[in-house]
Amino acid sequence: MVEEIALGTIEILGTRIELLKVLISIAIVAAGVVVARLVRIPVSYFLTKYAPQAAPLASKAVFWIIVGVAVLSAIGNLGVELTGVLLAGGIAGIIIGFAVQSTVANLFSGLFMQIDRAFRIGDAIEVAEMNVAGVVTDITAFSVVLRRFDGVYVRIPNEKIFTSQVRNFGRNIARRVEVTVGIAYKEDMNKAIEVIRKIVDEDPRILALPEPRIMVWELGSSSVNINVWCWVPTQEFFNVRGELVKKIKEALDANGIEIPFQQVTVWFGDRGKGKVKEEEMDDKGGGLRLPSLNERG
Amino acid sequence: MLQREVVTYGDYIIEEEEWNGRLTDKIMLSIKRVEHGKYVYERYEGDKRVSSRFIDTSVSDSLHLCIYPVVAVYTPQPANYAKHLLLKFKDPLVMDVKSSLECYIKMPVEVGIFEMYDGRATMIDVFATKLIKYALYGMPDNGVICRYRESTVYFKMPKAEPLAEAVAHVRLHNYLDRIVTVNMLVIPIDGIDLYYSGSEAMLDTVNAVIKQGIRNEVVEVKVEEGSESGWRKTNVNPAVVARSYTMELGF
Repeated sequence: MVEEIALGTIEILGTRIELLKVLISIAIVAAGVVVARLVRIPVSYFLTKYAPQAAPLASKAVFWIIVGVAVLSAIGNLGVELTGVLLAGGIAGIIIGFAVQSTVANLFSGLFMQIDRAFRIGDAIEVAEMNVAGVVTDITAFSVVLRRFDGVYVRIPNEKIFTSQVRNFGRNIARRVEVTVGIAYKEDMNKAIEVIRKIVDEDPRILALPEPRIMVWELGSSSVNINVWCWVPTQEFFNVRGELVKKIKEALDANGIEIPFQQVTVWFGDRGKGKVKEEEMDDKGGGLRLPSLNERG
Repeated sequence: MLQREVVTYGDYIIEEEEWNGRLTDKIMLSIKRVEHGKYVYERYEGDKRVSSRFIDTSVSDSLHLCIYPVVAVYTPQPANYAKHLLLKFKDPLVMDVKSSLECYIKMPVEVGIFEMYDGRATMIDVFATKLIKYALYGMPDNGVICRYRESTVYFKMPKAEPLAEAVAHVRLHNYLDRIVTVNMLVIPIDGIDLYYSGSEAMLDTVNAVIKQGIRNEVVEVKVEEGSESGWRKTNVNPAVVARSYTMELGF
């Protein structure tokens, strides 16, 4: 051994390697670790600022990639033939790749979602394709955790969310509440609009700008339909939506404006002279017996 | 109920067993001592009790109550929708090239009830005496929600409605090489102390500069720090607040 050191060589796994090369390889690995640590600091800082959920994972990945490159360089410096190692690594990589395909897909989807920033923790979202809606409580490397509005815990793999249409209810600071009110044809539309306008104007949660819109929207089968569109702070959307319908109903009732039921008027022409005769009711008395085609002559 | 004292903005040291103050025809405040250092605060609108708090001041023989005007961002509670006031001019202001203009506007205020102890004010109640409205400045994806008010532009100091309004002195400067029409101002008001005298309130001077921004024309609005002679400052907010805002989404 002493002789070997004196000659400046060392034997590792049957291969004689110069001691200087071993020292250089150790230095390469040490330098790689130092560089990896130095690089990880700004990467972590940058990601914490712009993609906080991805920061821990991505900064670790950067660290280990640099260390890995340093180790391979060190091995190469020792004169170890890397072709076999790389070939074996490549084959192993393909096998592992197939095995963890979905895991890797989730991992990369998670990273892309961080760049995309479609939602954040605390946002209320709906994943349309999966028919799931709730509040985002956690975003991990592989999945997004939702607390559904009924309180149920739901874990969705990142890949599924990344390829789905996501509706974010809390992203914007204001949302539009839409209510349709039907009034009877005999009622005064302008009076109804005035009554609704007063309710909208007096509610502090309904924004003055953009201006609320109250419009006669359509002449329906049973009613004249009035649409009420008003903007509210997002956090008040459900409260206002619920209360506005109630308030409008109460105010229209108080002002004697009828909200009609869905109804169909059946005319019998001359035979019934506009009235339903007793004999035209069915035997059980539960419904109207319409004349048969023969009876109609 | 006992005879009600008519109260305005100011400080009140309450040593009695029961104290009643009438702010407006409808709004009454009541303080009752339940035992040493323990009080019940109540606010009535007509005969209806709309707010109540239990106050523990065991270290003191009296209650130091402050009735102050506060910027209109607290109601409806517990909203905290806004930090700004969007003031829409009833008649838009047309400003000449490179010109300046001084005017007054009226803005909404709320009434804050504070317990003062050891120089620190703790809000125990806040309410508005007039209709509250908010508005969106900008678009839903990039705008801000502001307390909303339409105001006439006055060129002499107007008289504000007691317990409902404050007056603000506005200096407008047009640095652009074109005539501009100003329809609104967005004023950062959150955390800013007001001045009061009797039942009237006032804001610091608002300085608005219309100029070319990086992408478009903007208005830089700043609430200047200063003092209004003859008026008392409320001093209930922390010293550091954002007193400026740049309107990049139109004016």
